[in-house]
Amino acid sequence: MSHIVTLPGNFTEAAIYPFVRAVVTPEGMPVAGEVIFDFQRLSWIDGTGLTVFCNTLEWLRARSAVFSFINYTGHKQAISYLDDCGFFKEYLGEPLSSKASPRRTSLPFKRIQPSEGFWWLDNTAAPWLADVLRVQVGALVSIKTSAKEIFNNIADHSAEQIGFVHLQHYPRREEIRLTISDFGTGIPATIRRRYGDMSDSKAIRLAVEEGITTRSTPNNRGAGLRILVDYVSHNKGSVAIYSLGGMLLTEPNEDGTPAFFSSQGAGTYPGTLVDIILRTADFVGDPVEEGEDFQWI
Amino acid sequence: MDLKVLELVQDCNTAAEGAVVYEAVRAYIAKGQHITLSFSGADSVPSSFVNASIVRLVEELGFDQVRKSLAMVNCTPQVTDMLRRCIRNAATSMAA
Repeated sequence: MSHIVTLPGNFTEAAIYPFVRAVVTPEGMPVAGEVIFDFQRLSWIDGTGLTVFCNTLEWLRARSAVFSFINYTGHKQAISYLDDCGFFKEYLGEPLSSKASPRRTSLPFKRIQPSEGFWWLDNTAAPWLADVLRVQVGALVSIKTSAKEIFNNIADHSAEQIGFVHLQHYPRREEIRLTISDFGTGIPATIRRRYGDMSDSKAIRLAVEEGITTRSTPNNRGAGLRILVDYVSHNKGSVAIYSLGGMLLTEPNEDGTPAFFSSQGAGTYPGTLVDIILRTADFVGDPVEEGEDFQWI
Repeated sequence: MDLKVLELVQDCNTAAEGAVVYEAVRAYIAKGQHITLSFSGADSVPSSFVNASIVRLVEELGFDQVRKSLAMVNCTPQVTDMLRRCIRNAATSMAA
């Protein structure tokens, strides 16, 4: 049975839950065996919306649901952006326009396995970020580490071991967003297996406590999500995490520590999405140096 | 004995790579040797790598034994911070 989902007019972070509610049932299943996405209303989509959309398509595919697109041939800004990011080449086999090509302000979404993610970080993302932020690549080690923590989480917790990454610079907002998503079991489910029943929002909040570990693999001792949040906050950035029905936002305090805001989402995100938001004017960066000896306490 | 992590593994990103470092260091400690482990060239090290290498040594051999047997040098501030955090978490967990 087919079901038509109309894409939101403004497909950004604010549209995540309305969109996933249209595709994912409260029980966490596809809304239908065949989902038709209608692009008619779509007038704006950003990197976060694109990553959410691609992740959801792969989530449907992994559950043997089929999908197709209608009303996508207009020359609207959003369609053009999707085409430039390679969306139609990925899902229709070829771009809509022969002139479609990546824009200077984006590193278009990429489907990656965690092992590829490390290479992408060092050889593609870090030089691009260094250029945008006007810093040396060495100043980005904590941001690289933050992304590596997410890739390792995908490797540890996602049966599919596939995720999406997208990097977008918004010059007018003086903002860069690194968006990473997977369609795995989700942070709350993994936390509940170890710590018992609790709401999705409480589980995500617990997951970023220092020292919390699910021991989901023999070598997993946790800490990764907290390190991600601490490192991004130190750089005066923010983190948004959406996983199943829970969401967590962090904002940097004056001293670079994170302030946490968790809440129950208005829908069920299929997997986990992490948005790292860096403010180009406030970016701190890491000291470019080597040579410390580790001091045992 | 001087060891360089990037001569033991190509990258320092994953638990699997950390396990290789663990095996190498563990073997020398078992022979009673002191090891100086250089992180030169490894600018960004995630927790999975540290947990599978150094933290595993601490959990198996004890903090005092590893501290006596292993020095870690040429660390970036990020590597030092990651080592400190992961070892502290392990110590807290072991004490609980």
